[in-house]
Amino acid sequence: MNDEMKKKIEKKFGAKVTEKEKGQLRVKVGPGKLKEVCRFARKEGFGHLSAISAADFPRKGACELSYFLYSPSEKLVLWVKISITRRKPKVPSVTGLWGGNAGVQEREIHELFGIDFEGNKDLSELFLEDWKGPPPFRKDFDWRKYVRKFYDKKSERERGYHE
Amino acid sequence: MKMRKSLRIVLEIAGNLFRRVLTVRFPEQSLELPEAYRGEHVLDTEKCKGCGLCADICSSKAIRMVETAEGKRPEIDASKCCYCGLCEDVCPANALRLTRHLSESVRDPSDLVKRPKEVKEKSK
Amino acid sequence: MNDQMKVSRDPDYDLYFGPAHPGSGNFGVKLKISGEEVVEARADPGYLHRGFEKLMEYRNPMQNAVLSDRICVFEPLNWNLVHAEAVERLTGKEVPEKARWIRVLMAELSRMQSHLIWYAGTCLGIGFDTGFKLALVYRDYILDLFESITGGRVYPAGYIAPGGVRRDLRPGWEEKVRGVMKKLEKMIKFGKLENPVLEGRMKGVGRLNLKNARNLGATGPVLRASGSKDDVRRDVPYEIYPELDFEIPSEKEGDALTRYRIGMKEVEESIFITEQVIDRMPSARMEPVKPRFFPPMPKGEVFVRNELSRGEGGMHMIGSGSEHPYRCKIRGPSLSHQVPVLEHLLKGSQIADVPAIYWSLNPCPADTDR
Repeated sequence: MNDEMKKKIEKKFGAKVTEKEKGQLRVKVGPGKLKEVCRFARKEGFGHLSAISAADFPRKGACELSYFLYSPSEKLVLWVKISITRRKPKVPSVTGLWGGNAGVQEREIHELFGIDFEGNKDLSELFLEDWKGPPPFRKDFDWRKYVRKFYDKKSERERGYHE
Repeated sequence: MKMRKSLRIVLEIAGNLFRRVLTVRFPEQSLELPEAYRGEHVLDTEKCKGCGLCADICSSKAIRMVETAEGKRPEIDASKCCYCGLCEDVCPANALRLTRHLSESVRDPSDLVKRPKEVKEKSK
Repeated sequence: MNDQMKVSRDPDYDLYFGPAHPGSGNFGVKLKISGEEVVEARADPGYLHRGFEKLMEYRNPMQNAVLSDRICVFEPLNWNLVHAEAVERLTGKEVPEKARWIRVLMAELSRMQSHLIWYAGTCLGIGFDTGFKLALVYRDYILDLFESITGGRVYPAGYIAPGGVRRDLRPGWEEKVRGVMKKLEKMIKFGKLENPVLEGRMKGVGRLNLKNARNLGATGPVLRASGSKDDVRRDVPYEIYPELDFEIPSEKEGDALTRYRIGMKEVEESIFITEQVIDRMPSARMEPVKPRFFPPMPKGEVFVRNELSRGEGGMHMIGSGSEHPYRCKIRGPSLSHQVPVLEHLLKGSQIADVPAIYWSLNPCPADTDR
């Protein structure tokens, strides 16, 4: 069954599919093809979106997004990877296919990495409150400088930020 | 039926007068801690070589190496220590150990930064 | 009662079911209310955000194992296992046979005590004091077991580390564990009684059908109470689960009382698994894991999925040639339960049902925020 699915994806999208671990298929596509691949996977039975994960590579000038899709009937994980530019990154949203689950995961990535998801109507703040600085999980955010500037060690309070 | 139920309750209350109490009168008595418990540190100064591996691996950066007459020895800040035991596992000479003794309370926080108690164990 | 209810009134006032409330943990929900009916609910996470994913990028694997206990306070040993599996699959480390059996034993004990906290929280939210006290008393016996094996009642300090476990089991452990299992059977007998208090407050409340459950990202007991039979231990088994014999309880109604009943049945199945592990554990001595040598992590990525007591937990780790991981993404089960599922279920319900619905989803605020 894994081999059949592998051949289907390779034939339809022209991308190489590898199976490094048993039960996990990995495929890397260009950012323009993401919506097509996701729609195809949803129709083939991958009804559960396990996670969306982002990683920042400042030296390459790219952000990599990984979508982990799971099919409960075939017991198979499909790992779709895309790579987008770091400056003003934009990706189409998958909330039309996987509902509220995709919505909250995209909201988290928007807040912490600054990636814009087109089509997601609710990208409001989730964990941080009134944050006006750069996205904190990027590799060029200097957290040591922020702590030294805003954290008062003697009274163990965060000062200056709310003032 | 009602009479029997209230009789059962009275008998149970009377029986509780003779049952063993679960609490202990601390600090005169105390519970016995298991052997695997991770408490305060002790250091065997004959085995310690001053290599500094314990200070490198500490997850809370609570250990600092200080100069003494015999060489470098660790100084531990008990207020930062999370008692994980990585320093005990990494020591190549088996000189630093975690015992079952709990930390004592102090009035001044700077009293918590101290050298661990020294023991001299006879080699087997 | 919730999937078909239509809300037709305008809100009169706002109520904050707040973060410093004993009935909600460290999590807030903003409610807009008209009379006695909730018109709209908005979840407010972020009170426990500690930035674990960034903290793990500056520490080596043994220090990360000590840190991974604290991702979710209610089940530290299960998260230890997820992290250890991710590092082992990335670096190719081998695990001794006895260590695998010990890991499953600790994971099942941790699952049982987490379900007892769920029961205690539900009873606290509803006002059933007897159940709350009994559940925490029986949980204490399991915590004493943890103290005698790992050294800590709640935080085992990275007991399940990459490469095995940090200490071997001491002689005499079998009688202790069997004794605790016998006591827990009494607790299960109490929990399965037909209780008029719980039935009155939780029957028919917070209904979730299967289509909505899958769309909103429910996993674990919340999904299994709505008609599915998904469980990572059975579908994509890890450690020694393929050799054990256990059932997956699943029901169809999808209301709060069904989720509570599934929780009790899962504790029974865990007791059965623990007894099998005690009987079949290899008795040879084992070399524990010591933090002596850290080879650099090879370049590559790995994704690991495990079945925690709340649902599906995952970790995506990227290695880059140094001894620290480059990126460590943690997938917690509670983010999908607390934000989309909760907002959907609370819409159209009564104020008095809000604690029953909230606690029936088994929330863990620490897992939501990380």
